[in-house]
Amino acid sequence: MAPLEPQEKVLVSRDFLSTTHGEIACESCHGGAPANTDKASAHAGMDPHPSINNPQKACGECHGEIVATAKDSLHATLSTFPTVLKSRANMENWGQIDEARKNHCAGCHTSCGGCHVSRPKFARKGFVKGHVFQKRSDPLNQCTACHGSRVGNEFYGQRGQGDVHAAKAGMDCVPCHQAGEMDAAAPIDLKGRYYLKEMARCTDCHKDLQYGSVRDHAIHIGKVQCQVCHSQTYVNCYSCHVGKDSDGMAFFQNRREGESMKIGRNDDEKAPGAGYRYMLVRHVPSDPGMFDFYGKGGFTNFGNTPTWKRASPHNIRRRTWQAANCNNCHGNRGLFLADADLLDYEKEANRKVVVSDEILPKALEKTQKLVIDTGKVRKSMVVDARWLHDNLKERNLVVIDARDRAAYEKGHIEGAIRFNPLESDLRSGEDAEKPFVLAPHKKVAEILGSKGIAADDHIVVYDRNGIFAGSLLAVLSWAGADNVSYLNGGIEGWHDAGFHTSTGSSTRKARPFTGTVRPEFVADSDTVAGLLEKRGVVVLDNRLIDRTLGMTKHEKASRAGFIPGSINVPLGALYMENGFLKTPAELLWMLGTHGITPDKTVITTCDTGIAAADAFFILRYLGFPDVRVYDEAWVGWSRTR
Amino acid sequence: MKRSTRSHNAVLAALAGLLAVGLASTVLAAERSGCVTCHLDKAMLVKNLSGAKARTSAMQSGSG
Repeated sequence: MAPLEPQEKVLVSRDFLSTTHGEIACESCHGGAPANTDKASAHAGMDPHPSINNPQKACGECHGEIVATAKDSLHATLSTFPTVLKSRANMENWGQIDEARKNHCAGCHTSCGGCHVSRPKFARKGFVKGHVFQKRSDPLNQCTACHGSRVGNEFYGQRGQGDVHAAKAGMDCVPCHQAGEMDAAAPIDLKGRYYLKEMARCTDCHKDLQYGSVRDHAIHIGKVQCQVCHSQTYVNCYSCHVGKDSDGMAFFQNRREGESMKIGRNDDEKAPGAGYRYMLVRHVPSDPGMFDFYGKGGFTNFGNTPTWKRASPHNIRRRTWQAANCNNCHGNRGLFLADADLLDYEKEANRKVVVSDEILPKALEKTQKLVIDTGKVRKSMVVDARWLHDNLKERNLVVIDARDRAAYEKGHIEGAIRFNPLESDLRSGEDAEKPFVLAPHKKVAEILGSKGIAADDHIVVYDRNGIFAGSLLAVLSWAGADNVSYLNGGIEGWHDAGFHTSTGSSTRKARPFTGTVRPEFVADSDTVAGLLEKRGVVVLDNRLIDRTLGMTKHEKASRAGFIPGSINVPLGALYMENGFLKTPAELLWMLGTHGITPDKTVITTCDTGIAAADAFFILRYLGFPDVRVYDEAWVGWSRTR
Repeated sequence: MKRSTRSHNAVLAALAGLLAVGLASTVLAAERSGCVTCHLDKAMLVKNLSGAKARTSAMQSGSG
């Protein structure tokens, strides 16, 4: 969600004037002195957020019944925050903790306007449709504007494949989270959000599955939470700290994020709808010193409440890797929360959530093996940090840092040259007749040669999360470089392996690239159109789900939509959040669930060809023999087809 | 009887008139507010809001 310009935030649409709410004078809700003609005095006493500051006056006159409960809803009060903080607090210091809560945590709340008129305050505000009130909240501008890092990214495929409810049914947030839940009053001492009796549950729609035809439902219902089998990996946050900067502005800092999946013991089977033994748990961003700015020693009872808490990731899939085979879960120690996953200060807090070796579900012997042929994987196309470290001095090794200048200057692998594919002329400009397409081979070879790269070098590329690195590797392959590799995990993988970085700039002496172009790696619009109806050909669309649903479009595309017959697997499904590729077995299995198998010709596409090129590289790595990038991508297709 | 009907009609007409005046003033309420003079005018907002910056600490990290 791009931020709005200041004037866009407060520009009222003429359409608003002919709506029901347009029949009410602005000052009736907002106050101020509209008769005054200068900005300052006209805004004197004006309330930009009347539904937050006085919902009864602003909305209650007409919507009294809703406001009566909505003013105390979870969105408005975050009433479970004090519950959790008190459980950990030294109550003698509650005043300091509560001050921190009000300055930081409470800043996220919203009220009627944040869901029906504007982007919420946390998302820096701004009218969604020129102040036209919307009965149904906008999933991109409102719901995921706040619930973005986890829910939004997971739901629409920024991370993982996205949620089946969006991908297959085109659902947004509202079908599950209806007004009855959103407007429900949350009692002050509500133990947790799952205790809200109006909370959406899977079983609201998926009823009585234990009596259905799916064997695993009959076996597992009552033992595991639905998400244990049906979620994908999700992000955990660690160690949030809060304070005020030199200007007195409140800030928070999350120290680290990491994508994983952990199954924990259910420590609260009495919670509504939680009658199971195992559940997914997510690490919440807390530690005993998080509010130290306001007073040290606030959380003397930190061990009272788990830091790994019940999670409901919004990335549901019918088929998932952990449920692909009994023993992907049973006996898989790494999938279950272990004592070793905990820091010293949180061991007591999670004592009831940890799955000890004694209770870990045992691997099953009488189960069908999952057979995935990884024999064709081109292993040399992905190297790890250790390999790169040990081979840095090799004569024909070229290491490329594909990040931007600021990231490179902050620290890069020693000897790596900086080459961000987006900052070069490898592709046509956004205003070209055919935007973003690869430049002619001669020009690409000149650019590569000018960087000191030759086609017979072993070229290793890294970045932060794989996207730019993968697309550059695809260009190098197309241009004729045979020995190209991705550094698995990128710069984070390098750091995690314990290796140092350099801040000194590196360049290489220009020399001829001399590669022979591989035209079969790229498909143009006519080729793609001609292949669409052919058996054995699949078009793999690597964009986010909201693009394929037509909710958003690239600014250079003439319309929203997708190529007929294309299969959507967002690029984020191939990588973990930190730039590590998922294992070849998991990737081959996952692609196979979409009908994307090595026996087919696969044409990758996206909006501009960047993500498609990345996916091309990964499919080549997985051993797919016939992969092509549709370089003109949706921007080109939408303009001509 | 005739007279009372006439006076009844007169009262109804007066009420209708009052309602029409009331409705007209309500229907146009937002449009007649001085607020929209500026808030419908993109150029004026650009002029008035140039240089406006979001007040967020540079030390902020992460998102919801």
